[in-house]
Amino acid sequence: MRQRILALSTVDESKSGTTQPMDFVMIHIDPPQQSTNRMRLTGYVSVGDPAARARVAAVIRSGLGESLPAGVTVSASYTEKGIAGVTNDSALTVAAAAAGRAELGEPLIKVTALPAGRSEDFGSFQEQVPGVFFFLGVSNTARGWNGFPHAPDYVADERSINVGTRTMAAVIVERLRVR
Amino acid sequence: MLTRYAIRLCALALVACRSDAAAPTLSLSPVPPGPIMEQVRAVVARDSARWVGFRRDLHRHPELSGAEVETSRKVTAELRRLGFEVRTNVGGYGVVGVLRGARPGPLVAYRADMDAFPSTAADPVEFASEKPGVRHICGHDIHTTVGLALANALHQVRDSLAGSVMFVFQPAEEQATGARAMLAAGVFASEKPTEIYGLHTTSFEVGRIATAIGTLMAGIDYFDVSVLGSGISRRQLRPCGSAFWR
Repeated sequence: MRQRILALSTVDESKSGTTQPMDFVMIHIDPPQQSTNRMRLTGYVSVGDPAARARVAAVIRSGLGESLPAGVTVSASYTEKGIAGVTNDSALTVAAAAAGRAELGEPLIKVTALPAGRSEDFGSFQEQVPGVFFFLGVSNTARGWNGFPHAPDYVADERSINVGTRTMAAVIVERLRVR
Repeated sequence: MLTRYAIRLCALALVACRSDAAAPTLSLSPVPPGPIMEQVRAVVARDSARWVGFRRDLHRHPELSGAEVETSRKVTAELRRLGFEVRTNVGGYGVVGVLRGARPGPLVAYRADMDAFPSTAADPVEFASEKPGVRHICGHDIHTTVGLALANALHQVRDSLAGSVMFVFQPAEEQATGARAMLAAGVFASEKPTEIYGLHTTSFEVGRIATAIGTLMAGIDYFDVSVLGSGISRRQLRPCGSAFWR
């Protein structure tokens, strides 16, 4: 059963933190919990793509379609968005990207991959209010500064403060400027 | 940025807003985005060194999730200096400040997170963490500073704004509990924004900023599968004693 769950992954857990295709699935399984008449497997699934989520949820909720020995039953639950993840509103993103690009020019780029195993609870706010989240570059390769979050040698180039401030100001000003 | 679920989961040249509030207001006639942003850029450039200093102070004094006592105090002081309406202790050490534009309009929210992360790795910067075992290795010191610099810049052009901006400074992002705690505490109860914005530092080169429609970061789902074996032997339920478990 453990293997069946892991088979739903497209990314091994050792790849946590690396960027992966948008529809990746990464699964972590805790050590099995065993008692006299019960074996329990718990864990989490890092997933962003709605279709991939639906596929994994369906398989697990079905009890993995196992052929069960006589007298054995399976109870399975799957809780979606225990941590919401970040999902940007389409119309707001188009407007925000346009405002940001007008302010910064070319540096505003499109995200095409997700960091596996990483999340952000900004998504909890987005469950209440539509919104847009951005990634702000802080690395400085020439100086050897690694801006990958949680890296032991993490160093952020402080010029990013002005970049972030100007971009977010452009986005909000465009929404609120007197017309 | 949470690294995993649950547990591991991972003034100034400034404003003198009080006196600023008494200063002559800008024209309320419609102003195209260019001129407003020129004002914003001028403020950002003028106050840049101060905000770098603010960020370095946060970096030297990082606070773990749920313990953002001094960070929230510093944020509160800055927002009050700007004359914002300020709420404190929202869902823990969360702080909320509201900037009112000159004319009525929508309420837009901006969120920044404030907590640091456990790390025993050496801090390579000259303004290294002075708190053993705790560092801003997720950039929340940058996020908080951008939030305040943004509040300051928009305050300067508030007479050109039709609407309000709610600045949400969130605790406990690394534990994935802060946002929901602020929502449960009613951060949007009295006034609900129409939209919300935020950012996170990442490994792109400085100067770059990125976003995308739809999913930008994965969510975390949980599963719980139990096999109940009444009527079969315990041996059959052992993880390694049966092909059923492999």
